[in-house]
Amino acid sequence: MRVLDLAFKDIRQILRDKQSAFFLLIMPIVFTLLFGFAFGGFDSGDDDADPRLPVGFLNQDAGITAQRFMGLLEQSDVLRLVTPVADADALGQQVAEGDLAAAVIVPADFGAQMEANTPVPVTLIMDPTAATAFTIQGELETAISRLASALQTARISADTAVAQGQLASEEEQRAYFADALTRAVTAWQSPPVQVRASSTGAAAQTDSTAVYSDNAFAHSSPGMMAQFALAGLITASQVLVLERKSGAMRRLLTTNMSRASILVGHYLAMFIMIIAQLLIMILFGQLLLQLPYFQEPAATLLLVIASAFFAASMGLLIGALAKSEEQAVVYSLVPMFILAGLGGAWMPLEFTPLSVQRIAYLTPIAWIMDGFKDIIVRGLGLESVLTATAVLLLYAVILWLLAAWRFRFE
Amino acid sequence: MKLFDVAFKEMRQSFRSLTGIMFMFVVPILVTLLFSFLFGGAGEGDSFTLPQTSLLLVNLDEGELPDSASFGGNMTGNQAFNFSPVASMGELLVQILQGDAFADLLTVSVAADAAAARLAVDNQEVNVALIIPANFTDALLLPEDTAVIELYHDPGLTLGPAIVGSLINQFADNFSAPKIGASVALAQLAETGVAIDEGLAQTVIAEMTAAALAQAQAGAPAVVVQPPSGITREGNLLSQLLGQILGGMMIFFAFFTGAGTLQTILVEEEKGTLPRLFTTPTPIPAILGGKALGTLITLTVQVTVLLVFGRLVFGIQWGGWLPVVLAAAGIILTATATGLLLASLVASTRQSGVIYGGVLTLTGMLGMVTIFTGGQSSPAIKTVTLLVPQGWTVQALQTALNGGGAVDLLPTWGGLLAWIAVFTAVALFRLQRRFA
Repeated sequence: MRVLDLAFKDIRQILRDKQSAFFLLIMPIVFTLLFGFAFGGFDSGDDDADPRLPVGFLNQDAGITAQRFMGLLEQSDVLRLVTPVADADALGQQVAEGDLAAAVIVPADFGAQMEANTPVPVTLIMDPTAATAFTIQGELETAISRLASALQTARISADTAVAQGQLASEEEQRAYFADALTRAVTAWQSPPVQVRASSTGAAAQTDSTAVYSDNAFAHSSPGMMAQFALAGLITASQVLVLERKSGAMRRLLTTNMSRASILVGHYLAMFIMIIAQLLIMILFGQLLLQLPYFQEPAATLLLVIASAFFAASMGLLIGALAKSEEQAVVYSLVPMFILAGLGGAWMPLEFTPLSVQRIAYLTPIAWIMDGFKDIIVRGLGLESVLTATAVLLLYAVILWLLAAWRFRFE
Repeated sequence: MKLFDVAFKEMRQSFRSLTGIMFMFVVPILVTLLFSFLFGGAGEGDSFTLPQTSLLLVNLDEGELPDSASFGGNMTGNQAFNFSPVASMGELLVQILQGDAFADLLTVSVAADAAAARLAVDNQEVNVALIIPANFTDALLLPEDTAVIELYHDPGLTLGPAIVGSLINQFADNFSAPKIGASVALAQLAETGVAIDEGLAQTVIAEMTAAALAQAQAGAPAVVVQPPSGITREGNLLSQLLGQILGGMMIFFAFFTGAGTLQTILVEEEKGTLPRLFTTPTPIPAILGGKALGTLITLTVQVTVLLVFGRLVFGIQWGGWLPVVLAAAGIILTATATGLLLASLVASTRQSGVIYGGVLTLTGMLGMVTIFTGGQSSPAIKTVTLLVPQGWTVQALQTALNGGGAVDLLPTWGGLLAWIAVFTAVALFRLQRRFA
């Protein structure tokens, strides 16, 4: 009972500090929304809205070949052509201001040079460091490549017709060539070999889950939850520092409460606080961000408990090591930055080289991220989070033992 | 002189604080180092490294190429391939993907059946499985047949599947071109009354195949990528990225430095040292001015150290010297004015914890949204960032980073001056009333 009394005393003390609400709830929610919005969070909300990337298209070539090129680009599932536009400078400005994802400028001699098999480059105005740069350039190259192929087809078709004694006049040859080009461009709408992407079985089996890999919050929600579970330890560890500085802990030792009970009491307070924080964040994710945390409630709960065990042990260690409130802040925030950054809370680890990914999995944050993503993105169940849970519990035990070893009661 | 005495006292106090040093220098540099490590890789040079994607190939192709079919030489122009004789187009695709040309992008292995491959993806043993269908060759040879290559991937991944998808689409197009060309040409010839015998059909198919191979050898079509107006970044991709991150961190924590340093007004007021100081012959404006000057100097040191560190260690090209100086001055002055305003608004150090911890974090993150998005923010989001002073300082620094000149910075500087003037005026009014 005394352990519980001590834990509830700590929790009351933590909740009385207004700073706690910021670190425990407001900041993780704001950051989740911010990162989610930044990476395309809620769309316009209009289901009929075209989700493709808006790309300006300035055609300086009035010929049929350039028109066919435009037709090929219009078939794209990724790009949405925006025409007409004023001039190249205005286009560049629109790209710079973010109104357009990119802009394509087709030069005046594009068609003639393509027909002569001496292609001239198409200008693509875009920020080469943008996340969409790879996709846009790929789509553009595919369209040019298909146009080149269609022109080859038209050329060979027309030459064969002439060789077969058809097409007496140049006019007939031109018309035949144009017809062949149109047919070939149309044929590219449904090529004989197509590539279809699909994703893992568990996610694909339920329609409701399949869409969550497209939810921009599927990364920011678990990421910020993991990061701010550590930030929330600032106040909790400061309570320990204050208790030690004020002599309250020494007085506590004069009671019949054992040192182990004191440690457990403080640990329990941090554990309850983090559990509450994580559960509120999960409710927020489920109800407002439409992330399917409750699809596998047992898996989610297990991961929440394991994460709380780890974070609370970390908090106890910080409280054990910090000699002042200032140190408690530093000892909380520095590991938070390092573990969150390295563990993939800010951006997916898939963007990093394999060597970095291996190092990242030495951090508990990477395991928390992996566990939650298994549930909300991959649609997996309890079994999938067992490894993550085991790793987090191992971290919790190690950190707890370190905290108990270094804990100063006086 | 008293003004400078107070200023140097404030500065000394700031640089003696462990937390101050952490947030001024250690955390911004640490976070930038982390990103440098994350994107550059561990000991893999200082350029952006695309991560390798593990690809599991399943070739179910049962078709057979006719004896007359031959593929040799160079399929993608930039990359050399030496093919062994192949029995089907599926084998050819496997050989291409296993070639040295893609060794930097892909780690390729082969599985016997589709179910095992999908299971390997489900178990996250590989990133992507590519299943070549049984009728792949037939789809490329027979008139009515079509085939679908399945790209089965972990839904938690986006970049790797996108890279593999782009490559496979390119090959699928190269393979499809002869069939599309031949079917279009032969249908058109037939419509004009030409009798299509096997010899003519073979000739057309051979010409189309040769043309497709020639096109594949020519490599990717020419596309000139041109950054939009106002963006003429120097340096490699990694240093550009690190410039955004270190710049963002510098701005974020500069506002904490401004507020934290001027928090001494509250601390000294509560301790009673400030009222005692006011009883000395030193005029109140000199005392408060000294505190503001101390903050300005502290911020100047912080911003200068981070800019120089970024240039020397991370190779960040911050921009021309004048735009960078203007942007830095904007950051320093705005952070100081914000610190003054907060010190004038907050009544006690207890309140200041919430204000400094919460408000500055919220406004700081809001101002940095354009950094998170890598410049891909919508106009609405960009406008929202300008609701806070941090957004204007980020805009000033980004203008310099993007190669903008001093003239390009003028509108942003106008906005910054407005923030500085309003904040300083309100702060002076309230502090005069408080200490009158």
